Amino acid sequence: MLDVSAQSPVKPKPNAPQSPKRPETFETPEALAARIAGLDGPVAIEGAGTKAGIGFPVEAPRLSTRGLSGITYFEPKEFVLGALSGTPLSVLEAELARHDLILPFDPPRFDGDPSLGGVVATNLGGAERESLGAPRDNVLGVQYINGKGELLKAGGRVVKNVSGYDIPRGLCGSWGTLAVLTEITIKVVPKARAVDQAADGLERVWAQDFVWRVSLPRDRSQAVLTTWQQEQAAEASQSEAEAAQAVHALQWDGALLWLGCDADRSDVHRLAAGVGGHALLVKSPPDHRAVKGCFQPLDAGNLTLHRLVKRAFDPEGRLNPGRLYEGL
Amino acid sequence: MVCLMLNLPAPSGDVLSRREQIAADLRSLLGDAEQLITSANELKGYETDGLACYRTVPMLVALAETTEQVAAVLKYCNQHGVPVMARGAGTSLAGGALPQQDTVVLGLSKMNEILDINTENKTAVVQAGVTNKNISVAVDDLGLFYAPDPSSQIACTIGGNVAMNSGGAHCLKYGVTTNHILGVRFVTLEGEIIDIGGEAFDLPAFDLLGLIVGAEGQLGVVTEVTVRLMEKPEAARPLLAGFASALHAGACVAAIMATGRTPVAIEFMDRPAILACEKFTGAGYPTEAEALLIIEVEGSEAEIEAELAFVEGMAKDHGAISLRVAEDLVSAENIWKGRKSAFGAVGQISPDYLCMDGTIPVTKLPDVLEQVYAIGDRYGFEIANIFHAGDGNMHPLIMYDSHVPGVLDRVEECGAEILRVCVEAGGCITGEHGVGIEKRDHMPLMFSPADLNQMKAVKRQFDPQWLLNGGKVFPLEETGVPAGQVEAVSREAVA
Repeated sequence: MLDVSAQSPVKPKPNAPQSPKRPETFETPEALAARIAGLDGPVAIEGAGTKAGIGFPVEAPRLSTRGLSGITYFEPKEFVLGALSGTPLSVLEAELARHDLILPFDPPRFDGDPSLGGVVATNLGGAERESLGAPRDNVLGVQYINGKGELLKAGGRVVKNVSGYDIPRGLCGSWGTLAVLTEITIKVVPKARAVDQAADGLERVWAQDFVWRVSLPRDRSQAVLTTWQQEQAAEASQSEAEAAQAVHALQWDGALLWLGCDADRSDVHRLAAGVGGHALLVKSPPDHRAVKGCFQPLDAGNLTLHRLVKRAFDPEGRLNPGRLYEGL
Repeated sequence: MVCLMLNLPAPSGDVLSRREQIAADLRSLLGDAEQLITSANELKGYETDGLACYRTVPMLVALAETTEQVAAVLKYCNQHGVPVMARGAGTSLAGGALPQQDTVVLGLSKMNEILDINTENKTAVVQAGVTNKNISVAVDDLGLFYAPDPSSQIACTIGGNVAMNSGGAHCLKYGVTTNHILGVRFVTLEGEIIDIGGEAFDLPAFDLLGLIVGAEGQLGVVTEVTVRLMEKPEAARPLLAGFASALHAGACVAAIMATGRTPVAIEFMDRPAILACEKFTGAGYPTEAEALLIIEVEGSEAEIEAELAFVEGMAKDHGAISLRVAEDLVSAENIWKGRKSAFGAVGQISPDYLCMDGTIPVTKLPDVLEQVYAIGDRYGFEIANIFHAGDGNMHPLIMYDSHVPGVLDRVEECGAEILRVCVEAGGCITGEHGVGIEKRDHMPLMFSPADLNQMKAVKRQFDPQWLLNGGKVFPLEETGVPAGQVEAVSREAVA
């Protein structure tokens, strides 16, 4: 398990917009749902806040799921675990370890102990993505709150389930903009099945000021890397050249590329799009990301589909508005 | 086979009255007259699917050859308020490809080319009409295969698999369709062509693939699919174990799965199914057994030996009364032969049957089996059980004779009761066949009206007029079809 949070704290710049110091927390999903239903206007949704440094800032009252904590269902012989969304991953891992089980995803940990809900809502696959899948591959069911403040459920507790639309997967990768996950049921796996693909050099990458995570076709990663290195070098001024840092790491047998640098001299979104991949800026100074954006720009068609889905779950645009893309 | 009563939205008289104009317009959109089917005789070929008791001859069939044609047809139907439904091979067991009288069926079977195979990325780009099996055949020489393997894999298309999020026997180890789709070319009702995903893992933001896979063709039409390919195991070998009771076999499955040493497949058949298969295929199944398991392991020769020894030990511990390990390809095929023709075999010994598809937690198998038999006894029906036991996906077949007056209502009640037991055990009403028309009215067993409303809100964003594959997935009265405007479809016997 890789945790380099000590080397890579995300420190907001003093001039960054100040949100309320502490988010409001809730003891039950019902209480959180009632709060959302009772408020007018937008709300900023967060879990443990370990990925607060990704995406546009959301100026709205902060509501956190971190009070919703605890395992609600665990049947080791079925390899199924349910927990409230604010449960820290470390709590789940400790309980699973007692049964020689592990989570089937080992997400990158940027700044401390993420919540289960945050991991699923952001859907960043970890070291075992190739063999065990991303979070989305292991989610069986969810309880969630939509933009109207309705507490709903979808999916279930069994792996094979095609009863209705696959809402649990549809909410993966939505970063709290479609719904607030309140309880999640996942598949877990025996420890013996883990295939660790921790990458060499990842800690050095994460220590840089700018860190990109690029998912791309394996056969194109070398070309993208070369172009990026050239662009980084070419754009660095004479005085910077010597000190300029541009480091990388590869995971997933080459299908995931991490890029770290001290100054963002290359448009990695463009490079990723050029090979049919997508890049996420996972670490950057707040003033930079507030302007440039972290998420891969979508083509017109995909943006249209995102808007349709957003309207279906959050018709008034109240949940984390603008966190991923302007107007979404 | 005879079916239960089913309501579909009544056809629109307005659409039917415009049939000639619509046909002329579509013909000019497609360019080639042969791509539009209008004759009653040929249209009959599209009246049903794998749930063959329900039949409705569609208004027209358009056989698309390109994504652009798909887009043109969808756009036209959307603009003119014409119901439209994509169709692959028509193998759905849930009525997913059943048309209505006013439907334009958008046939994708002509789009059957494999466009690209990338061995380094382990991906293939295929058109929607390519059959599931042909993907694996095309990459076999490269040491790769496409993992999800529905029983109908020789005939069913990848487009249909995507729509229904299909499973199969080997999904126990490899996962279902949604775990193997990296990208799709998606056509909206407005006729917009959108590429979602591709050869890279996961998506930049929303998991649109997650929503589209398994949406039963109700959000748009997929014309191309980028699938993930897996490395073929060196070899695979099944073992056949007979048990003195179904409960022993169920307990054996639960015990094997609890160890975490997941075999690639665990299939279950009980005595009625064994006898039917034996009579039909002569596969050499143990007719003295009350239940049997087919357990397949794979890997290198050494791994196979080790896993077989483990599985044999577990079977013996749970009172197996017979054990047969496949020694070669021929005996392996023999072991699978019976299982693969099991539904057909039951069809031979019973005039009619109703196939269920509920999933339950594996630890509940022995308990739920007992309840299923008790329900059958109470209703006076023999029930044959054939299913993917490793992941708890049950297929109880309720056997009956439709000529017995009043039997259909009792079959329906019996089936509903079995599904209720599955849901109460922590399971679901359909594990791999999909909701379609068949389980539409059972959705409230699992979901509240508000839960269903959220799913329908997604549908309405993509298809406000409910033109795409309407009348399915949701209870009809929930989709805005007025109670008076429904039409009962067939209880007719099919030869």
